[in-house]
Amino acid sequence: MSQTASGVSAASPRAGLRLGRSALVWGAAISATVAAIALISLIWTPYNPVAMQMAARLTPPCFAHPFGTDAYGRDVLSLVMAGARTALAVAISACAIGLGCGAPLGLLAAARKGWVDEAVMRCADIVFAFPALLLAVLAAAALGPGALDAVIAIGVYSIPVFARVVRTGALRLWSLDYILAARMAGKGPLRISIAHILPNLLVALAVQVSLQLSLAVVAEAGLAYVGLSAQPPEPSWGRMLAEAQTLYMDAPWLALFPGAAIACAVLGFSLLGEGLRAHFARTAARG
Amino acid sequence: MRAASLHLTAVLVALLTAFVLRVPAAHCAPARADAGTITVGLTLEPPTLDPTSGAAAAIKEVAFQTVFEGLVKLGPGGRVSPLLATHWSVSPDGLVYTFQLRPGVQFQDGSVFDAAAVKFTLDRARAETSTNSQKPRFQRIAEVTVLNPLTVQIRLKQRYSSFLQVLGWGDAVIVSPRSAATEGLNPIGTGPFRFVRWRRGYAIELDRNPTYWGAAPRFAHVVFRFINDPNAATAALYAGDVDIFPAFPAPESIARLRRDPRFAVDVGPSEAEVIVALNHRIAPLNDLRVRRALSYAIDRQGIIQGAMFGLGQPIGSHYPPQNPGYVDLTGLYPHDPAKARALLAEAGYPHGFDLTLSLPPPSYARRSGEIVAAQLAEVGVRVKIVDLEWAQWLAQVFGRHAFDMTIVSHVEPMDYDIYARHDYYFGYNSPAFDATLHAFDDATDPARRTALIGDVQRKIAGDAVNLFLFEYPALGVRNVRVRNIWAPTPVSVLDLSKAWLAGGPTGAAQGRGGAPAWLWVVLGAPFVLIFGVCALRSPAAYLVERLGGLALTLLAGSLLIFLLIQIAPGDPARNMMGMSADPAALATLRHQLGLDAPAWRRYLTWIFGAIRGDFGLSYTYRVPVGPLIVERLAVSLPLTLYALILSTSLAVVGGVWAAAQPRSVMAKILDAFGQIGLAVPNFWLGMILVIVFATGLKWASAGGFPGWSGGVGPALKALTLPAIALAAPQAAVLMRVLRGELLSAMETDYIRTARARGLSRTQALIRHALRNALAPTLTILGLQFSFLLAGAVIIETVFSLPGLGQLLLQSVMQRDLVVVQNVVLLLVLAVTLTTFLIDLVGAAVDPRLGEGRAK
Repeated sequence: MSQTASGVSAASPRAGLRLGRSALVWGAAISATVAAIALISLIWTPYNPVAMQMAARLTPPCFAHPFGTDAYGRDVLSLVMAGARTALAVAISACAIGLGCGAPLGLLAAARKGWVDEAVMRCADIVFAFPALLLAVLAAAALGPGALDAVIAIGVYSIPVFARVVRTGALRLWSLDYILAARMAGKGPLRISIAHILPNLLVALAVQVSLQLSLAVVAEAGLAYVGLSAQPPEPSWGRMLAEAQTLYMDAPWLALFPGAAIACAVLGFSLLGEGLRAHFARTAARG
Repeated sequence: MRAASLHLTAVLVALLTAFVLRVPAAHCAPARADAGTITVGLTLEPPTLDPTSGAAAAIKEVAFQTVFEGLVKLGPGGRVSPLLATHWSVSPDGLVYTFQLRPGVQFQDGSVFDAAAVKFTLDRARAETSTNSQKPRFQRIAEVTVLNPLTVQIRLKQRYSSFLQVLGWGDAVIVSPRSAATEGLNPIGTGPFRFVRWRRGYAIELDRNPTYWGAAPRFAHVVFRFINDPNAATAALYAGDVDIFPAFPAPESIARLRRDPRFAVDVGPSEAEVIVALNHRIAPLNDLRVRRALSYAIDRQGIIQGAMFGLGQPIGSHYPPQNPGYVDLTGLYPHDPAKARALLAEAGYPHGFDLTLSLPPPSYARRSGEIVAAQLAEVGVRVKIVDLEWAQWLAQVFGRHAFDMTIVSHVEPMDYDIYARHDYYFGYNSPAFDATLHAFDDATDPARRTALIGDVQRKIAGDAVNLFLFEYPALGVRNVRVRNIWAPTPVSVLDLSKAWLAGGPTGAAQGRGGAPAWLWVVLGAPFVLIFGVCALRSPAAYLVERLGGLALTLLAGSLLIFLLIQIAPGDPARNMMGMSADPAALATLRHQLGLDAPAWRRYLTWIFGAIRGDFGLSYTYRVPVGPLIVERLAVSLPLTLYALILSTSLAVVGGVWAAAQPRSVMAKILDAFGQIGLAVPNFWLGMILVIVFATGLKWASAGGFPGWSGGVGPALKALTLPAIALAAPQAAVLMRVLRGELLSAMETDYIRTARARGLSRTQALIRHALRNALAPTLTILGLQFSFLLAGAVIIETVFSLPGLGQLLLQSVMQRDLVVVQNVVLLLVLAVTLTTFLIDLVGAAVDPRLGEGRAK
C-alpha cells in the first residue's frame, strides 16, 4: 500500500474522477481565502486581537462582535483572523522542512538503491514510530514550549512522508528508457536526479504538499491545545480551544469558531490536494 | 519450514502471554468500600508535614487541626478558645502569660503531653536554627518556664497584644519532643487523626487517632488528594473521587457548580490578599509618585471580573475586609488612567517605561497578570510577562529579589507586619510605619487598637507600597452529602471534627488502585490470539525477518529517546531536592540516582531495567514509574481499542454501503462525511459532543473516569464520548480508503464473473471484494492505532481522563524526564508492535504481501 500520509491514500482513479473538478475549485478557493485572511490580519482586524475590554467580556455573537468575545473581552473574530497567521506559518515551515529534507533523501534512496536505500527506509520507519505529538513532547522537554517545537515535530514527521513519495516516484522513473539513455551518455546520478527525475515528480510533490499542509494545520492545533506550540500573546487557534475548555459549556461560541476555522483550513488544503491529484490523473489519462 | 515456524510461534506466544499476565500483578491496591472515609482535594502538595518548619500553606492544610493541635483554637474575628490549654491568665503588665494545660493528653507516639513538651516546642520555634516561618514572632518570647507538669509560664520581652492569636496558628502547634527530629516525614501530634501514609504526588492518608483526648471524629479515614489542574479538579468532583475542595482551583466553574444540585458551594472570606508586589530596590518603583501612578492605572473590578469571574472583594491595603478595624481604602486610588499618566509625567516618565511581571503558576496570577499588563499599557507602562514555576519563583523573586513586579497571594492571617521586615522580598523600609506597628503591638485597649490598626492600613495604602488587588475568596465546593464541615477564618483550615457523610460510601471510597487483572486478560488475549494464528500461517523466515526489524526499530528508537532526553536542560537532583539543597546532599542524591555514571552505562541500565520491568523512579513523585504507567494504561489502552473498534465498524459499514450503491444519495452523504471528517480536529469534536450530549441532553457525564473497580458499565460509559470523538475522524479516513479499494476490486474480471453467475452487487462485494480490499485497509488501520494513541493524549485533556497522555504532558511540564522517557518508549513500542502485528495479519490474509514487502 503506497504510504502517502495518514492514510489519505491513492484512492482509485475512478473515485478520484468523481471528486474531480469541484474538489479542485473548492479546495483552491478555501485555501486562498484562509491565506488571504492571514495576510489581511497583518494589517487590519476589526479589533486589536490582544486588546482587553472587561466590560464586553463573554458576549455572545452579535452585530458588534460577529463571533462574540472571550473571557477578557477580546473580539473572537479578530483572534481567529490573527490565529490563521500562526497556523499557516507553522504548517508552511513544517512542510518546508519535510520537503527540503525528505525529497533529497528520497532521490538519494532511489538513485543509489542497495544499502543506502535500506538505511533510508529503516530511518523512515523509526521516525514513523514516533507520532508527531511525541516528537513535540521531546522537543518541549529539551527546548521549552514554543511554536518552534511544533515546527520541528511536524517537520521531522513529514520528512519520511516526502522521502517515500519521492522514492516511489523516482524508482518508477529510473527504469524508463530515456533515463537509461542519459546514464549511458555518462550523466551522473546526481545530475539525472535533479535534471530529469525531479521535474517529473513536481506534480506528485504538489499534491503531497497540499495534503501535508492540511495535516500540519490539524497537528499544530492539537499541539497548541496541550500547550506545546505558540505561547501567549501570540494568537493560536489551538490555544483558544484550550482556553475555552472550562468555559465552553456556558459560552459555546468560544469553542465553535476556532474549531470551525481549523476545520476550514484543513478541508481547504485537503480538497486542494485531492483535486490536484484528480486533475493530473485526468490529464495523464487523456494525454 | 512449518515445524520451525510452529516452534517459534509457540515460544513467542508463551512469552507474550507470560508478559501480559505478569503486568497486572505489578500494582493493584485493594478497593476500600469504607463509609468512614472523606477525600479532600488540595491543589498543592506540601513539601514536608511539619507545620512548624516551613511557610507552605499546604502543610497546615494537611496536618494542622488533624494531626497537630495548638494551645488555643482561633475562631472567626480572632476569638481565642481553649484547646490544649484549658485556661490562662495574663499579668497586668502584659508580659507574663500563665497557661493551665489539659490533663491526660497523649501524643500519637505514646509520650505524654505536658508543660515540658510546650517548653520544648516554643524553645525550638524561637531558636536561631529554627525554620519556623513565624520565628520573629516567637522570638518575642524571653523565657518559657515549667511551673509544674500541667502549668507553663511564658514571659515576653515586650508587650505583644496579638500573642494569644499567634498561639492559635499552625506554626504554634505542640510537637512531641521524642519525635521532633522526624516530624517532617512522620508527624506526631495530639490531634484527632494520625498519619498513615504519604504517596508522593498522589495523596496523604490519615486515620482516626484511638488515643485522642476529645470527641472522636466520625470519619475513620481522611485522604488528601493533590490535584492542581482546574479541569482535573472539576472532573474529580463530578466523578466522586473527591468529596470536598476547600479551595477549588477553578473560579470559572463556580457558577455552573452552584446550579448543580449535587454540589454545595461555599464562597466565603479568607485571609488571602492578592497583590502586585513592587520591588522597591529598583528604579522607577522606588519613587512614590510612580507607585501611585500605577495604583491609579489599575482597575480592580476589571481584574476581579476577568481573572476571578466576579468572585473576590477589592482591597485597598493589606488587610481583609471581614476583620475588625478594617478601613476601606479602595477609594484612595480609583481607576483613573489620566491621573496616572499625569503622575508619571511629573515623576519624569512622560513616555512611560518598561517593566517585567514575573508570574507564579496559579491561574489567578496568570490571568490577573495579563489584565494588569493590559491596564498598565494604557498609561504607557510596557509590561513583559515572565511565567515561572514555583521553584523558580521562590528562588528568583522571593530569594534573590530578582524581579520588577510579581503577583502573589499572601495567605497568612495578620501578616501586615511583613511591611516592617526591611529585607522582605519587596524591600519596603519605613521607620514611620515601624513606629505605628510597634504602637499597635504595644496597645491593649480595644479602642486604641482599632484606631492604630486603621493607621497601619492607611500608611501602607498611602505609601502605595504594592498594588492591592483583591481578597482571594475561600471557594469551598463539596458534595452535598458531606455535612457539618467548614473552614473558618482566620486559619482557613478544614474542621473535620464533627463532619460526616450522609447516604453511604462515596465513589471516592471505592478505591482507585489500578485495573483488575481480568481487564489485562481481556485486552491482551485478542493480541496473543491474532499473533498466534497469523504467525502459524506465515513462513518462519518472514517471521524472523519481521521480528528482527521490530527489534532494530525499538533499539534505534530507544537510543533516539535517550539522546533527546539528555539534551534537556535541568538537573533532576536539584529538582527533587528543592532550593535549600547543599552541594554534598546533591552529590549523594546524584550518585543514588545513578546520574554520575557515563551516558552509555545509564542507557544500558535503563534498557536492561526496562526489560526486567524496572523503569526507574519518577523525579516528582518518587515512586516507581512502572506501576504509575500501568495505572494510566488501564485508561488509555481500553479507550484506544474502543475507538479502534468503533472506527473500523463505522468504516466497514460505510465503505461497503458506498461501494454497493455508488450513485445513491447515501453514497454522496458518506462522501461528504469522509471529506469533512478528516478535517475536523478530534478534540474539537469532543468539545462539541460534550456541549450537545453532556450539557445539553445530559446523557453522559462531562468528564472524569470512575475507575474499573466501580464496575465495567460506568467505566465504559465514561469512555464512550471520548471514543466517539477519537473514532469519527479516523472512520472517515478509513471509509474513503475502503470504498476506493472496493470500487477498484469491483472492476476486476473475477468479480464480473461472479456477477455473471448471478450474485448481486452487494453479495459480490461482501463475499469477494472485501477480502481483497482488506489488506491495504489493514495497513491504514495499523497506522490509525498510532494516531489514535497520540490523539488519545489530547482527548484525555478534553475529558479529564487520568490516562497515559495526561501523565506524559504533566511530566513534560514538571521536567520529570524519567517518566517522559519511559512513556515515550512505551508508545513507540505500541506503535511498532502494532505495525508488526498488522504486517503479520496482512501476510496471513493476503499471501502476496508475505513475499517481500512492497514498500
